[in-house]
Amino acid sequence: MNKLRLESRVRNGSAVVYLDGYLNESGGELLEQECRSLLSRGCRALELDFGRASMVNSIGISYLLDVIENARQGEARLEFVSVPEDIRLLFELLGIAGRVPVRKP
Amino acid sequence: MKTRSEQYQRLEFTLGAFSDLGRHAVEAHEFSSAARSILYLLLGSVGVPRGALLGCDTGGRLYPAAVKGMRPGSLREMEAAALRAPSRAEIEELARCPEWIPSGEQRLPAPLRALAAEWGMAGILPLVVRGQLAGALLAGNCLNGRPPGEHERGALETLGPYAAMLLQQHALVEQLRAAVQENLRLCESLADTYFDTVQAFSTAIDAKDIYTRGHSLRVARYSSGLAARLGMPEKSSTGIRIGAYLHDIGKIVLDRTLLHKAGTLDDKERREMASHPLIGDQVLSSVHFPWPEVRAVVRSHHERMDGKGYPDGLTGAAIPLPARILTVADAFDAMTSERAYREPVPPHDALRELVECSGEQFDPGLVRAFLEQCRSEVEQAGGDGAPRKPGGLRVFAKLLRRTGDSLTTSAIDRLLRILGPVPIPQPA
Repeated sequence: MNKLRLESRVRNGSAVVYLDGYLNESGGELLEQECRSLLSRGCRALELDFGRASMVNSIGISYLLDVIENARQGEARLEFVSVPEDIRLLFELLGIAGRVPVRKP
Repeated sequence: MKTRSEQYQRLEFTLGAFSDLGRHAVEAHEFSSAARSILYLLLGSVGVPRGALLGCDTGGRLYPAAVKGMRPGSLREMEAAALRAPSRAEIEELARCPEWIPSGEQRLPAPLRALAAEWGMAGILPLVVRGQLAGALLAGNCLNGRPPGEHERGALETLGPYAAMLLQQHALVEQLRAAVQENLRLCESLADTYFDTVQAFSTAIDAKDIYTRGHSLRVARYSSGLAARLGMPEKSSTGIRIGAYLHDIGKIVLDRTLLHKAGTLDDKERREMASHPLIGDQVLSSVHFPWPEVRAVVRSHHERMDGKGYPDGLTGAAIPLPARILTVADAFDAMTSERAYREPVPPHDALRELVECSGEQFDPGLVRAFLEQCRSEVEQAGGDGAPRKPGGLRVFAKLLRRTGDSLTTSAIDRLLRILGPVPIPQPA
């Protein structure tokens, strides 16, 4: 499995985080830290781009739930974009799609 | 059709979580890190953001091992709450029912019910291995704010036994690690006690003669320093040190008046004095030391390279290297210490005596190594004999502090030139 790589672009208080690879334990920890850092730097809109995300496992989901909670506490808008079909279905099953807008590619 | 696809997707995801559990079983982790991974995996597999994993210690007490989605410091707060632990009977009751228990249910032991209510948990899943409670999962509500439904409970109950096994496995490894560390600490403490006892014994040997007080300890320092300089293994160096502590043990049976005699010894007295290495060897023959160097040192520390020593009249390399090392150290300390019949010899004069007697009495290569060790320490020493750099002085520190500037590197260089380029013995 390819290790998760992240790339963030910040503009006018909004950030887009591009996920590339497998969102597992190490990747999830990385993503949660990156989002927490963006929120602490004042970003009030976070967009996670799953366009190049290959897979998400259960521990990756757990970290994603932390990202959702941190965004809620930071009163930041959170959105998941370019989400592949299988990951989108997973988000629906786990109730994530009911809490965060999930957009298809 | 949609329901069937959903079911397939759920099953696939649960299987994925199951496979991740297997990976965690074969990877080495600290217990706290493993507990955190197990908790994240279980909660992530059903989309629950908050929860805690409780472990169960050997005394049957539950304790928080990991938390998720809680306020900072909650693990410590839970630790305090865990003091109100369920009874053994309640724990056994929980172990009989490895199923999801909603937090309000009466069959949940009162302390756990209180804990779940206090932390806003939806329910508890006992984690059971072979009928024994390994821990428990406390899980909050799902993202939609409702308690885990039938699908979520099913997934948790499927993964639960494997998570329990993993939790127990990591807890056992942790206990084993703690036990091994405790044993190592005990071994170190036993070894320290052993060395202290042998040192105390050597002090008792030296105490028989007021002029040899501290002699064995100093000889041990010179000998083990020389052994280290030759690159001898630590075990051999330790054997030489112990041998040095005990090298005069045979003197215990000698008459005190003989040891204190200021004048020349007559033939009978000399024979009696010369018997102490053999007596020492006999005394130690029933002691099974793990270091062969000890008896070699005790028996042969009065042998000479020219074969005129005692008790066996060995020559050259036939004298065990540890004994040859001790002979140099013993003679140097005897010369630089006060005796009933003379003042201490200055260190330079004692070193010159070693050089002059090398080849006949002492191994020239060892005398060379001894001079080189002394030179490097003199070079590092300040005017008062104290080291310029921390840790610089080792073997000759006390002597150089006492004698100050009397020994110089140029004086030692002259002695080394007199000695010539003799090879330093290599340990086997």
